[in-house]
Amino acid sequence: MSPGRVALLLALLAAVLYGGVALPAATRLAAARAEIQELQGRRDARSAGLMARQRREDALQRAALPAESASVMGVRRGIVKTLDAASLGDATVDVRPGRAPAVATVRVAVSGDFAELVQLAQRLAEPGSGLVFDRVRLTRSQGRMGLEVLAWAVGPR
Amino acid sequence: MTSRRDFSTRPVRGASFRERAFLGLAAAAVAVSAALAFQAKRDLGEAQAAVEAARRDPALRRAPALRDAAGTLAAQALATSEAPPARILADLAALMPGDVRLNAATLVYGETVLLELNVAAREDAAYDRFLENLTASPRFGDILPGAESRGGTVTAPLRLRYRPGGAP
Repeated sequence: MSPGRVALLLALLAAVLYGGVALPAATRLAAARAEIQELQGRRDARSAGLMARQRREDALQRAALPAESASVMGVRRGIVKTLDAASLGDATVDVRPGRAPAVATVRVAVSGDFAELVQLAQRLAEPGSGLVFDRVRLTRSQGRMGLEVLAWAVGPR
Repeated sequence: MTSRRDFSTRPVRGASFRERAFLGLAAAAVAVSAALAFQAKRDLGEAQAAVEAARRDPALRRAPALRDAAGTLAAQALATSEAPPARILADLAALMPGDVRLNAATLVYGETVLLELNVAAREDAAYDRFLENLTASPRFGDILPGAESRGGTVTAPLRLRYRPGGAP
């Protein structure tokens, strides 16, 4: 066989190797790498979601009342105690049975000095108060401030 | 009849330079193609094994949905602990020029804390400065100013979001 023919056969073999093996494998490799990247992105997002969920669960656990106070009467007692300590006048307290997982729904309305009201809201928000805020409203009327807190009372789970 | 003997010979022609070069190039092309094919196959095998491992990763399995009552309550619990009213109001006060005051504030707790404010300012410029301060602050975002009365005293509603940890 002449050297020219051998060279031609080798060139054909090279073309077959490149077009039939290397090129398809490279295409599939690119697809596999893209899938790995996508799976890693999904895993990172899922991990972040799980961490955020854990933080929320921990916060709920920290906020929860101890079992002996986790009742409508227990919640009312705690709020009245906090209000008495704040020495604010014109207060309304409304504690009703809540739908699980809340022990009670709570509405506290009180008027007074701005700084005292903010301090009261802070005490109600503290872990161990059992309250999880839904809505807090501060309004100014005739020179006085009013505070309304709508919250859920939560117990141990 | 006489026998004729042929003593002529055809000279054996050696491979020309062009043929040798073509042969060399073709051999090199085979070597390169084989190396590329081998490497691509090996990389593909590794990548496919990594894909299988990633697919089996337990972290990718779906977690139970959080959009239930307990999930919402847990989100509100975190927002309450990270963004109690005192902290939000202190952060707001730090951005308020002296002649701006809050007439009303509603804090709605959820995944984040949404604020609905009613603001009064003695001068247009003070209100503008307050809005600029809010925009520059990493703790407040999604600021939506409402209809404002200008020309002296300004009163205006304002909706915005509080980010306890600063901008994401």
